Amino acid sequence: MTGQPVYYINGIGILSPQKTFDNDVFLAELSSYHENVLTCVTPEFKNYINPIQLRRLSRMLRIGLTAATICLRDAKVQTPQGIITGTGYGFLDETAKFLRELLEQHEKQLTPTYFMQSTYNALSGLIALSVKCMGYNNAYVSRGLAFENVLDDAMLKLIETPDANYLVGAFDEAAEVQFLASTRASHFKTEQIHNLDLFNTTTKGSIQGEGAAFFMLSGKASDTTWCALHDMQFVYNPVDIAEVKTSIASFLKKNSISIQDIDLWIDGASGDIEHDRMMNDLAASTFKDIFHTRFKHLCGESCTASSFALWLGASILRHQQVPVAIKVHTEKHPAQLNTILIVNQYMNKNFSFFLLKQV
Amino acid sequence: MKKTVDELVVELRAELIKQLNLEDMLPEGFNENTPLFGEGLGLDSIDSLELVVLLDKNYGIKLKDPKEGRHVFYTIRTMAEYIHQNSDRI
Repeated sequence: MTGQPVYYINGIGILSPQKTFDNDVFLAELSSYHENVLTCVTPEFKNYINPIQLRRLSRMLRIGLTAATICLRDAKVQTPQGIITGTGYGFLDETAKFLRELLEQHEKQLTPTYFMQSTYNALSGLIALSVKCMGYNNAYVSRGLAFENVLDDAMLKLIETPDANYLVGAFDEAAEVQFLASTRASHFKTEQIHNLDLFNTTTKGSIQGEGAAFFMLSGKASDTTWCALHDMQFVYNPVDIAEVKTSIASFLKKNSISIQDIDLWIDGASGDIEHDRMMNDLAASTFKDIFHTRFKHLCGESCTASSFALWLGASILRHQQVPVAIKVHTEKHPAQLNTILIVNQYMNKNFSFFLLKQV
Repeated sequence: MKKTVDELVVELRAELIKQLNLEDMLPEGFNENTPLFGEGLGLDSIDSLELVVLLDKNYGIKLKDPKEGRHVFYTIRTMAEYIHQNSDRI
């Protein structure tokens, strides 16, 4: 025993560019895209949101509320003790609509809906209203570390009240305004590619993704537990690869495990020839003998793509199965998958590590 | 030529459906005399704000007394009658 607190993922709901809304199916069929923008595969919203509520919600709020509802149902929790969301950019499409109306109407006669739906905390408030949660409610808008800040907050809360259930999640949308600006800044590729070929490219930029993912986090396991989140840590703007390696080493040491204890690692490479340098270095050195997987060709790049990785890791542990599409090499994976390390990066500046274990 | 109440009813119905995203949720038998709030269409307080903005934006009418709104927004027909009496833009 290390004496470190352990956090349990007792439910998940995720909508992404893959068909992930059905928790019983694990990447059975892949969605492929021949353009550089990957958008969510969505279920019938009416199955999750009542029609009166549904009519006023924007596309991204529908996606977020549906993911949260799937998570609550999966965890068999009606009302969590708190709700925490994170986003890199928030609801950009709704913000654009609101600002356009502001200009066109000369700051007069503005409709309230666009404003309400453009605020960063619109989703966490909407979920709270839907499930009548009067408890803790917070929204983090911290670009490439937004989801990590959400988890950090929930983990601190759970140290105080381990029995509590915190609904934690992240969302980011593939907004056109962001795509155009980011492509100009070479954050997204200028040439059209097929998403499944992302890691065969040798150019700058990634592909744009989006999604909403929710997790029911608690200090107590339940009969719906997917896996345990033993720890999470992030590093902002490391000076060089040595700092990343040192951070990983101290993270593992803090959790009393060695590299050899890791059965599989999920790498947050984004297909950007420059931004992936550190990840490629890690793959060739620190993790060269560890079973290697990647995911951003499936969900695209976004500030909160690490939430997709957390779902992926939890799903691998739950199903004891590694989909072919995420394997970097074709070698056989270990017979039993007990320990997974996620190493994500965003823009080569925001690095985060997640340690997952089977329960 | 000034629009009639009946013409305004048709116009308002289309505008309300568009503005409040009512396309897929109009109850059976919905007409210009169905109450918009409560047991009728079931609109809420945000919708009432949208209606206040709609009156101002499309018909140049500013509702100042909240009590007045209760009568004006009772049905599509009461809205049409109020606009007919008070708007100089129709």
